[in-house]
Amino acid sequence: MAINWLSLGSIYCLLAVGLSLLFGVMEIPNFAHGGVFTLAAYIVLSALAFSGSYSASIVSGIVLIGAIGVLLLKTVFSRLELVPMTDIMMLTFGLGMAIQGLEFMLWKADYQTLPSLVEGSIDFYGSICSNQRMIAIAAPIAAMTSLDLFLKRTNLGKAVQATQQDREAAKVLGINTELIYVITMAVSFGLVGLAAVLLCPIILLYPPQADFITLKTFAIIIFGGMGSIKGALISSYLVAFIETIVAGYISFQYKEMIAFVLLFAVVAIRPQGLLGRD
Amino acid sequence: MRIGIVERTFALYLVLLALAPLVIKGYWLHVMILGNIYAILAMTLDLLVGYTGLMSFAHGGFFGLAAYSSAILSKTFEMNPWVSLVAATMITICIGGAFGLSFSGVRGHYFAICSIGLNQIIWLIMLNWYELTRGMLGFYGVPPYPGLPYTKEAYFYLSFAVFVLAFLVLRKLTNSPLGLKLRAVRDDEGAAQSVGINSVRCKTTAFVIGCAFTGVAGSIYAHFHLLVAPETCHISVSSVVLAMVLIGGKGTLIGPALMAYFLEFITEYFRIFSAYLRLFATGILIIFIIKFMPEGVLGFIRERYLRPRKMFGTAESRGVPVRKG
Repeated sequence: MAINWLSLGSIYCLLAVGLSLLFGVMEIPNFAHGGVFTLAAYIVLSALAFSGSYSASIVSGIVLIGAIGVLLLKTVFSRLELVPMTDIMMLTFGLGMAIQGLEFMLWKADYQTLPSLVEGSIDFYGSICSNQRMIAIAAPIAAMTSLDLFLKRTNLGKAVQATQQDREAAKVLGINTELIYVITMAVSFGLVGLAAVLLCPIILLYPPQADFITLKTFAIIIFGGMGSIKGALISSYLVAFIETIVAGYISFQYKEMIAFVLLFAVVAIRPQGLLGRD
Repeated sequence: MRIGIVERTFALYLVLLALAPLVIKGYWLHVMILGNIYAILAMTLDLLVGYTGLMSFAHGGFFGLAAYSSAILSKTFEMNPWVSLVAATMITICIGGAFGLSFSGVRGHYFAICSIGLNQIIWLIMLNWYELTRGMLGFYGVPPYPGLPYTKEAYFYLSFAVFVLAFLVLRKLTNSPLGLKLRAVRDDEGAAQSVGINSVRCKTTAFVIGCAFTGVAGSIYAHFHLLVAPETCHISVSSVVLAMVLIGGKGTLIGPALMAYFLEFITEYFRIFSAYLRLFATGILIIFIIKFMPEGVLGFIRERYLRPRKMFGTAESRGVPVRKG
């Protein structure tokens, strides 16, 4: 159960941090997040059927989804500064619909799963857990650590943070914000792709899964504070923890509701989220 | 209220629609009843999205809630379906009003997410409370309205009457002082409050009125279909209705109503090719509309062809890009 919790939390983390980055740097509340997630999984699935090599298809899937992100940035999300926030929201919402329709047409509505990355399981102090779940815990932590190092230690990462804090001031200081957008988009979509590869062997993959993913991720980042990466980290593990407990002891059907009940509570009591700024 | 060319055209359309059952029978009349119901939903959502600036994704949830409560009250609790119509409307008003009241301080995308959350909670309850709703199997055996012949024509005129009533009420409302208040809250909530407008009350009122007609529409749907499935309150209904509002032109009432019929017909017509093409096409259409005519089709036509040219306008109307919100 603890393993369940940690693996779920780690994967939520990837999703939440991806969404949080997009919102923090570019002010895109991405309602197509789940769509991107399922699209990435389907791309990996097709690449696998095409090439036969799983590792190659994973890498190509993540790279491709990042490239799609950049392409979207240059077409759908161009001239971002001039568009009101509600319109950006509607753009991503339409995008999510389009992606879901496309998936239905190309990959049909059947339930599918990705194969596990690794087979077998290990005995972990008396409880059996599959290696897949161990990787699902380890890989996000590695990704988060490297993202943290990138943001804090490199010049480019610092530029991303500067853009996040104040877009105009960053421009004045000579930061190429367009480049920063491209990088953020690629990193964010790449994280979602990674999450898809890790989560889809555990859960079922079918196009409407996108809705659940989008909603839960939004609930998590609002819970943690919009645009705050640390908040997203903490609330991912918290939501996963409560979900696991509820699914285990109370009711499996209602576990999807937990994130929203938490969300309502936090919006009522502390609208800026756990660690959010105003 | 000035009656412009758009409204005259719309009145002509309504007259044609009223005569339609003389010509159209069977399946396509069924589609037209659904068109009426969707038009009611789209107009009430337009009151929230277009006039009050509340990005509500919960409309499908309210609709499904009304359908389920009307169905359950009239079958399980054996109430007269007309009474259950009123009761279901009351329930929807209570839930919607409570939601509007408690989340009126929440803005922008936060509000959108909260409303999605509400919709999702309603859907999950309907899906999983098997004893009451029969879950995935759908709640069947709903009695039709007594005193009304169970024919497509009768139900067409019932839904059409509610639709026209809703249009007249909403039109009156949006042109009244309350409508101006709603628009003031939409444009700048802080400024509206500073001139003494109670924004919480405004938003709650909008929700109550919107949910009232949504409730009636939901009840008619339940007693016409005689079956309510959890898909009725799924988030996809909300998305479709929101798409109607955005594409038709938010803040115009007529645009969303016409777009509701249009999308409903297109959907039914293209169903023979692919049911999923619609999802894709609607998504792409939304993106294009927002990119190239952010005020929707009707707003675009009004702005382009029907408005007298002004010498001095706001910066925006002269095409100067202005960063909003």
